[in-house]
Amino acid sequence: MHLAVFATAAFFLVRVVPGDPVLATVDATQGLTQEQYDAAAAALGLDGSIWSQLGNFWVGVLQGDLGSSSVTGRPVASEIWSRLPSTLELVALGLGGAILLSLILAVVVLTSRNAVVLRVVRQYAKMAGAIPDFCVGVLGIVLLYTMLHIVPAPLGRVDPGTSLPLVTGFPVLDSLLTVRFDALTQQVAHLALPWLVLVLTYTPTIWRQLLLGLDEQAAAAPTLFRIASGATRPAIYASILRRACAGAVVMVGALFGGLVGGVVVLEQLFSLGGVGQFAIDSVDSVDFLALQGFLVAIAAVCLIAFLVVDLVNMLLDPRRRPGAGGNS
Amino acid sequence: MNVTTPADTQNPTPVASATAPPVKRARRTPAWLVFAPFGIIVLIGIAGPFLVPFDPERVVDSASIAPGAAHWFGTDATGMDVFSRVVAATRVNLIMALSVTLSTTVVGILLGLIVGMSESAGGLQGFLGRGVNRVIDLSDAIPALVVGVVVAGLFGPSVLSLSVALSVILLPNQIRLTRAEVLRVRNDAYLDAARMAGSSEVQVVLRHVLPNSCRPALENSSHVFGVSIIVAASLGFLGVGLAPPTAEWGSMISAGVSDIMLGRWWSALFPAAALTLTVASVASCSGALTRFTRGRSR
Repeated sequence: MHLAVFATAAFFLVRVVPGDPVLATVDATQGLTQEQYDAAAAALGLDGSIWSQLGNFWVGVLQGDLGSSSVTGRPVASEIWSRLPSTLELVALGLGGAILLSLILAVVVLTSRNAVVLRVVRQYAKMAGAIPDFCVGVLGIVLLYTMLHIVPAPLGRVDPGTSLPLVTGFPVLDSLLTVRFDALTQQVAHLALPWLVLVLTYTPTIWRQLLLGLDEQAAAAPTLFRIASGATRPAIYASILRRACAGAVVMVGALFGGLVGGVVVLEQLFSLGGVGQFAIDSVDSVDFLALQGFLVAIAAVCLIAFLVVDLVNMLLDPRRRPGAGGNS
Repeated sequence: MNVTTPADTQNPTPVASATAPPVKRARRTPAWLVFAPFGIIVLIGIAGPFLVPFDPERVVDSASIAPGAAHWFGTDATGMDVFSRVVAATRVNLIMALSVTLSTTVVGILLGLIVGMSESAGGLQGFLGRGVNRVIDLSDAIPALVVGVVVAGLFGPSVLSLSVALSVILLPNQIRLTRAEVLRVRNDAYLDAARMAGSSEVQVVLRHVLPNSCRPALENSSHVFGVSIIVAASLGFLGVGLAPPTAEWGSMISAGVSDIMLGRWWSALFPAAALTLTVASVASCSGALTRFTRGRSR
């Protein structure tokens, strides 16, 4: 249902882009008769009224058919499917690192009594949304590549001449599955800097939510109950963390959805390829079907991410489960 | 970490930090130090174009000269002075961020008021209110940057079109913040009191609902300022922002990145550093402003 509404929104958003994809694909230098134009439009699925196009698009989305790109002629679904996994993998690795770092910081806040450390850790939360990721990337490249030569040149996932195995489409996972350790180590080296940038840039956003939860829950009644009933210190900390997570989990979901499209800036900086680049290209070449297919795919990814968020929060907090009374 | 700090010796008794009141903060940074960096950047934005040693949009020397006495930040691959361009870009980027912040905050608060007040009404008004609300929810699922690319592509690259694009991206959040507050105060007794005293609905909304519901959006506006600088530069970096030779940090970085591989690090590093410093200074101001307004209202 959501996807249908969204598909419609994407359809109209894409239609307001100026330019004519039909003219962009055919060679119109020797003039173009109306019949030739109509034939080209029909080949692209852009004939008929805007409503019949919308109807065709809906039916296509339901069948997993997003039409064919007006530039490459290949099906949009397969174009996206060949690029999406590497983006998803990068985002998942980056956010995984950010979640891990947030949890480590949470343990630091709960256990440390060093005012300076606490201040630094709390200040870090205030940088949420205030770090331009590609600038950190540029600073990192200048420092670690140009000056110190620690990381390889930001030109792709592997050194030139190395091929990537293809099983599932997730490049790092595929290297593991096919036991290609040369490809794996090269990818680790090439992805180290972008991964680090992602972790450092997006940890504060998650961490700020987690910190809000921690501050709220640290002296809440359930914590006092645990202490009063003589629970061990790790058990108390675990209890606080579990109750403090909900906001941060929602934030991870939102970040995931935003980054699948937003990580394109880093992907371009490090020449990693990915689905975002496909969208930018399709705006440039006025490729309606590719762009609306991309938007639908991203929306689907977001909806799945939101679903996972709800499931995780249900696991963490029994009060959120359906039919659990719901009076809190 | 076993570093003993002054704060440690002041608080020698080990307490379970889970239940203890928050550890006493280290000394707070004085206010002028928080606002000074942003003030300097604004001054550069205002006065910068008159101070730069070279025309920021002209080729002034041979290409790719390393930073030195003649060109403090070197020259880029086309031979334009990087220092002049970084300084000149400050104004463009700040003006865009300022106009985006103003328009999203004003429009966001007004739309938030309208949506919040009319959401549960019947008829067309309620239908429209709920419709706008649905659109805001939908906008969660579209990556902001992609919307920016589409909208910027729609109007062609100019300061105005980019500002519109960024406003579209950042508007939903402001509406949502205001709407949540409106829903909180909508049924308060003083609104009914004002209505009974003969105020029209518009007067009630503007004189009583607005002042009680605009604060979250106002506090968020400094965040909007910072984010709009970042997104504008990201669009420039992706090649849909202001096109060269206009001095703009994002497009300067994207033009300079390929030079890094050749060892010419300066043409990308300096705009990146300028952008980072600006956003960081905005962030430090916004934190201080929020503390200030919160402290005063208590």
